[in-house]
Amino acid sequence: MTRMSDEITVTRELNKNRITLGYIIKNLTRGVFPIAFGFIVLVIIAGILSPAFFKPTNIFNVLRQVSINCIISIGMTFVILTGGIDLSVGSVVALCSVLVAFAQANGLSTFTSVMVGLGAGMFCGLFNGFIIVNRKLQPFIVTLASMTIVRGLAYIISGGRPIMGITDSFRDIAITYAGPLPMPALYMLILVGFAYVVLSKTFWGRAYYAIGGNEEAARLSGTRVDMYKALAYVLTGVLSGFSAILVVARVTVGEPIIGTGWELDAIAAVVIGGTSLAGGVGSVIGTFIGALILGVLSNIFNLLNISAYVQMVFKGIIILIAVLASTGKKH
Amino acid sequence: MVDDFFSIRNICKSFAGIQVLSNVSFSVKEGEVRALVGENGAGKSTLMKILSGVHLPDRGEMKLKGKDIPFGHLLSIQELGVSVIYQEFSLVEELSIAENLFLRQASEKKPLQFVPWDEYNKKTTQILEDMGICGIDPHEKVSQLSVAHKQMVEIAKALTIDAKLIVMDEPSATLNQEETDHLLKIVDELKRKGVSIIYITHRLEELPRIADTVTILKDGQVVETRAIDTIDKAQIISLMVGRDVTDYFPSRGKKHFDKDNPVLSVRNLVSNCGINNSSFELYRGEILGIGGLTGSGRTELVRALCGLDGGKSEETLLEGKQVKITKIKDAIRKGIAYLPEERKTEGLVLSMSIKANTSFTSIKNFLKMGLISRTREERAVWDMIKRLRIKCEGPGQLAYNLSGGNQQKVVIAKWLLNQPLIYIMDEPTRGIDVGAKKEIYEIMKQITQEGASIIFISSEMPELLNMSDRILVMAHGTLAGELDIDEASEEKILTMAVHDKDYSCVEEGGGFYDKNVR
Repeated sequence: MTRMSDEITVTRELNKNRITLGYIIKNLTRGVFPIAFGFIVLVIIAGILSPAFFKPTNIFNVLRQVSINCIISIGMTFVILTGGIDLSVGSVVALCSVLVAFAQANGLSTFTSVMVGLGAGMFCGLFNGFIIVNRKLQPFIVTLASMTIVRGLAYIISGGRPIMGITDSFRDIAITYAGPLPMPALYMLILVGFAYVVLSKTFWGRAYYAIGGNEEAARLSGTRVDMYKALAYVLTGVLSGFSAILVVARVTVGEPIIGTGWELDAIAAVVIGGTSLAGGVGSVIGTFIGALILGVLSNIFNLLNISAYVQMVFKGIIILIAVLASTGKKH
Repeated sequence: MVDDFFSIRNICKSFAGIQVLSNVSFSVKEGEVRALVGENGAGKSTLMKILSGVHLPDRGEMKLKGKDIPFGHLLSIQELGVSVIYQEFSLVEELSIAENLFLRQASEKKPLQFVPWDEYNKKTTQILEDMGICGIDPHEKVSQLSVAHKQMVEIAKALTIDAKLIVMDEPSATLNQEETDHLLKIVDELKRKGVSIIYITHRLEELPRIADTVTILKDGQVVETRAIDTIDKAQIISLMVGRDVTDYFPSRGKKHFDKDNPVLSVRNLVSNCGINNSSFELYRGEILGIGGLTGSGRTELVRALCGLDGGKSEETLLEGKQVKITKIKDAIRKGIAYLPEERKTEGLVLSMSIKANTSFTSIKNFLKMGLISRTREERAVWDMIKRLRIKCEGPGQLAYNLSGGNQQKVVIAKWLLNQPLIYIMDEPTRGIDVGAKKEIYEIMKQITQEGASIIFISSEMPELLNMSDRILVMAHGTLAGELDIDEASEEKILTMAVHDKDYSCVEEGGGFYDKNVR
């Protein structure tokens, strides 16, 4: 009898937490809602300032432009969730772009070239992850070192020159469309969706939140902390390699200067998206919106013909506002 | 009412529409020790934070020597001689004892002005000696100190500002019997010097020894203030929980265990953290208590059993089958659940929801096509919330926002869902209120009735003696003896725990009992 009534209350409580209007209002100040709200405001302002903004070509253009930063930021979200950071992503993009271009110039097939790019990225990620986990060193220091090492390697291998000879079939990876949607944007959406499912619907995801929130508790609950942490860097490496492939396919060269400062863009997107640098709190949807905010910002400045220098100042201000908003909530 | 040294009147406070304190008033005389008791969530901590200036009350006034003191000014309250010692210490771990004690004085110097550290170091030694703590170097880093010593440093810090009123939040929660004795002596000493003390505690047996009066808080209201000799423990408890708590410890009856087939049998367990050659057995449905002093290696013993700190044994038999446990994952897979001593730093991920914490070790049971099914997971978590009576808004609430007792219940829920054979509970009732304690004892009883066994570490003698079927006593990283519950007593356990040969070694372990036991 009590069992029955318990059952009924449980079911009722479960229904109470279904997504209803009340639920949404209650959660407006939580999770990604504030940042999503900020994004919508930004889009409206953009539309008012420039009528060209809402043209479909422009919208798809923005999506394409943000895709590369967003793809790297997905990996960065995993890393930052564990409480770490990866400063080497920009350099990894450079190295991978050089290697991919080399593969192409030497007549390797598109498939092999792609594998070279992803493989090189994965290797860099493994290097970072292994040292951080195995030697228990600060991710900041380790990836600062590998950032320099990898960039140096890119210069050595390329001799400091752009490498050309990209085939048309390789270019198709990035310059074709799926309907109206540019391929890079499609890749981005698929990867964001995939990362979202991993983080919110699998044990993996739970493990990342737990490790970032309290590494010791996660370990004592039987989580393979080291493996998951290393995996975050590997994932970031592979995604950086993938970004390099997209860049090479678009600009038709591999260059050691590609990706300078991209680690900061990726970190910015993650932080604007509400992921805490201390780890344990955040979401990939937030990161996606964070990347979109950065993209819309630079797009609207371009549409209005405002100089890139002013953009830099605004980008910084947006990061500050995002951080202020997220720390303000805690108090 | 003129001679009231310190008083508060009609303090009200609500958070997000929930009334946490309503019309709380009481006053403390000079040199009076006032105990403040109440269940978790009764409003003790909030009240304390109002006194210290962390929170502003919605209404009310506070007077010291008849003068109004403003709320919400941390420093000015200290200047008036009110010092608040939190449960979570406010010491800077990387600074020395003296630097911590005189941090405030040092920071009041002008930039570039010389800070007289030599003088401060001498004063520190003096203050500590006055408190009866000898042989401590004031240069020692706080991070090197035992919990008991940190507690003493906190109190010493209050003395450096000439505190006239000291508020202590569960100072004895993390101390063992001997250390607590010492603490109580210090409190006595302070009282004799005319310092008033508001002493918040869950350990009611301490009250007659130190308090003059007791104020009982329930649901944010003062239900009673009485002189301590006019009220007994049972009355206090019933006022705290609002009902009579007759059987504080659940009766489990005398059990007969199948001693030929132990659930767990460990031979010569060793670890890098000082556990040597410990062997013991655990029977089905048994609660095996582990007693001993702080630093005697109780926690280290169970950690070694779980394969932590490089723990390994010559032979471990689980249900008669030989198993090898070299890391915590092995232990969990084999059906051993370890509920660590520090629930906040080791047991829970505070930034995650109750749901995510609860289902963490058993998530595989809630998968649907490889993905976590929200419905299944929430149903299981709701069941646990109901079964363990976890007070919360729902599974989505962050563990961070729960009271200590409810956090502990979440830790238990996490392992209940995993259905282990053996539960290792390290101080499961530390720092939680009477009501929640009783509930945890009930849960322990249920667990054993369902056929699982419990290894139970506790520093509180009454619960150790009342809950255990058998008690192992640890001393110096090894098992000093075993007592059947019928023959066990506080004295016997203590004798076994300290009787040992190498005394100096224990002292380093961080106790004060040398003065009390010898």
